[in-house]
Amino acid sequence: MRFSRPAVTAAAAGLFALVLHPAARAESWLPSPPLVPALLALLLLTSLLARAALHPRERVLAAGALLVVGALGYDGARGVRGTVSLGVGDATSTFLEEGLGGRRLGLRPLGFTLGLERLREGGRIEVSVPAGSATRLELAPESALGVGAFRLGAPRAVPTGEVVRLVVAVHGGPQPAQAVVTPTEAGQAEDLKVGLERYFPDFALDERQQPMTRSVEPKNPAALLRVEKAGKVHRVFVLGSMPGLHRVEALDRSFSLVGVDPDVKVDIAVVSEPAAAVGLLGLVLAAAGTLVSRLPREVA
Amino acid sequence: MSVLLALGALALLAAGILGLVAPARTTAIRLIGALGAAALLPAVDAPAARPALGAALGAAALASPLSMLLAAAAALAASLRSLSEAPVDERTGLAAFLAAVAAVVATAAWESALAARLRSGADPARAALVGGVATVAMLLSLGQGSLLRWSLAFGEGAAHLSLRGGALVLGTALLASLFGVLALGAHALVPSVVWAHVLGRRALVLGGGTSLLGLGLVVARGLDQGPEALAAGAGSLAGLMLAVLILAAGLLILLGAPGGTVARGSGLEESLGLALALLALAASGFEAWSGVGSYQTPRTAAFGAAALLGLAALPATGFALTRRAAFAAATVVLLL
Repeated sequence: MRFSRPAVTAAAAGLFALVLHPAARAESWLPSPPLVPALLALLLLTSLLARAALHPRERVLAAGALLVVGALGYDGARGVRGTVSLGVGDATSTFLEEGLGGRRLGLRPLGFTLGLERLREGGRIEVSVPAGSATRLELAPESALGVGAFRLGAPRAVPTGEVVRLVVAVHGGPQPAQAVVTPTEAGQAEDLKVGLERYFPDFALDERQQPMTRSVEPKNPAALLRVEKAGKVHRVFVLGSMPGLHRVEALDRSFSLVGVDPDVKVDIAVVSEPAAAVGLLGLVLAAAGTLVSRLPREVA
Repeated sequence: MSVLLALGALALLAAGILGLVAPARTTAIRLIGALGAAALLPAVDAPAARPALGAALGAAALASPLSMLLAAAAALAASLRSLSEAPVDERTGLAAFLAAVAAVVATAAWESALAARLRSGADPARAALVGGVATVAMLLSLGQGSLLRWSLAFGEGAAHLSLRGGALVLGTALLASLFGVLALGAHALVPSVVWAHVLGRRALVLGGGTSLLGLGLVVARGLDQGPEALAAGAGSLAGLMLAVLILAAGLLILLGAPGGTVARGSGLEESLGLALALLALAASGFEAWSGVGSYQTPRTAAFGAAALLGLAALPATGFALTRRAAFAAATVVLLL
C-alpha cells in the first residue's frame, strides 16, 4: 500500500505541522485555509491506518490518531463558537454565532438567560444564571465556566465610546469643588450646575479644526460641558491631559476633567466542543501507542 | 530567586561543556546537571521556572551535552523572566513542563543521530553549519529583525529599553555568522573549495564570539538600566545563547573534540520525545479548554505542530537528521 510508506507519513505530518503552526500564518497564504489542513489530517490518518494494517504494533497509535481526527472533525462540524456582548445590568438569552474566520452567522439561543452583574479587578466579571437570580458566578480571563451546553470564557472589556460618569473639578472658588456628571444627570459644584453636552474618549482636531474622537478607547478623554449659574449658561471645554485649560472669566472659575468612568461592554466567548474529551483520550492513547510501537523494536 | 536560577543555569552550562569536551565522564556530567536542577527546585512555585526545572531534570537523566545546554538556556530564560514583577507570558503549568522534557529528549535524539552520522564519515563542518544557521536565525529574530537596522530594544511603554551598543556588536556578529554560514554552505556543496571551509570556520568563530560578547553586553546593560525590559526579551536572549552554544559545540566537533565521536543512546529517545510532545499537547488542550473555554487556541496549535513534527521525525526515510532537527526546534520554541 502506497499510503503506508514512511515517506508519506513523514510528509503528511510535516506539511500538516507547517500549516498548523501559528507562526506560519497559513490562513493568510493558503488558498482554502480550512480545507488544506483537513485534507492533510485525513492523509496522515490514512497513512497511519495503512501502516497499522501492516504493523500490528502501530495499531494503538493509529487508534489514538483516529480518535483525535474524529474529535476535531466532529467539533468542526457540530461545535459552536460565538460571542455574547453585555453591559453591566444587561441580560441576554442569545449569542452571536461565528463561523470559520470569524464570519457572523447570526443569533442563536443559549438555552438560559445570562446577566452581567458586576465588573471586578483583573478583568474578572460577575454573572448571574439565570439573569437576575441570586446565583452569581465569577468569570476570569484565565478560568472558563461550563453553563448548560456551553463554556463561557475569555471575558474582555470593550469600551463603547460613551461615558458613565465624569468628575469635574472647579478651581478659583473659596474652596476646591468637584461635580459628578453623568450623561443624564447634571452635577452640582458650589452654585454651579454642570451638565454634559458631548464626550470625546480620544479627543483630536480634524483638518477643519473641529473636535472629533480618533477611537472609542479613552486615551485622551475630553468633554464639552454646559455650566449654568443663575439662569446663565456657559459652554466649557475640559481635557483630561490639560487641567485648567478653559477659564470662564464671567464665572471667575477654571475647570478640569479629573475623572472618567468610561462605559464598557464585556465580550464573553461562548464555545461548545462536545468531542473535546474524545480528543484528549485520543492523544493519551496515541502517546501510549508511540511507546508501544517502538519499544519492542528497540529492546530487540 | 533570580540568583538561584542563574546559578542553576551556570551549573547546567558547566555540565554541557564537560559533556562536549569529556563525554565519557557521564557520572560527573549527571552530577553537575543534578546540582543545576537542585538549584532550580526552590523556584518551583514560580510558573516561569517550571519549564526550566523540567528541562534540567530531563537533561540530568539523559546526561547529553546539548540537552544540558538547552536546560541552561531555559534556566537563563527563567532567571531573566523572574526579574519582572508582572507575568511576562502565559506558558505555565503541566503542558510547558512536559514540553520542556520533550524538548530535552528531542534534542538528545537529534544529537544521537548527528553523532551517528559523524561516526559514519559525514563532514564535521555540517555540525558547525547547523550551529551557524541557528545563530543567524536567532540573531535575525532578536528584536524582530531590528539588528538589520543596527538597533535593538526590549519592552514597551515605561519598560522600554534601547540597546544601541549591544545592537552594534550583535549586528557585527550577524554579518560574521552569515558570512560563515554562506562559506561553509559553499564548501558543503563543492567540497574541493578548501578556502571556503577555512574562511567559513574563522567567520563562525568570530560570529560566535561576538554574539556571546553582545549577549553579555545586552544582559549587563539590561540588568543595570531596565530589568523589566530584559524580562520581556528573556526568550529570545536565551534562544540566542542556546544557538551560540550549539555553534560552539559544532566548532568543537569541527576542530576534532571528542564530542563529535561520542556514542549515545538508542532511538528510544525519538519515540519518548514524541510521546511527551503528545502528552504536552493533551495538557495544553486541557489548559486552554479550562482557561478560555476552547482547546482551539494558537498556543495549542503550536503544541500540535510540535507533536506532528515529532511524528514526522519517526519514520525511517530520507532527511532523518533534518526532520529530527525540526522536531527539536519546534519543542525548543515551546520551551523558550
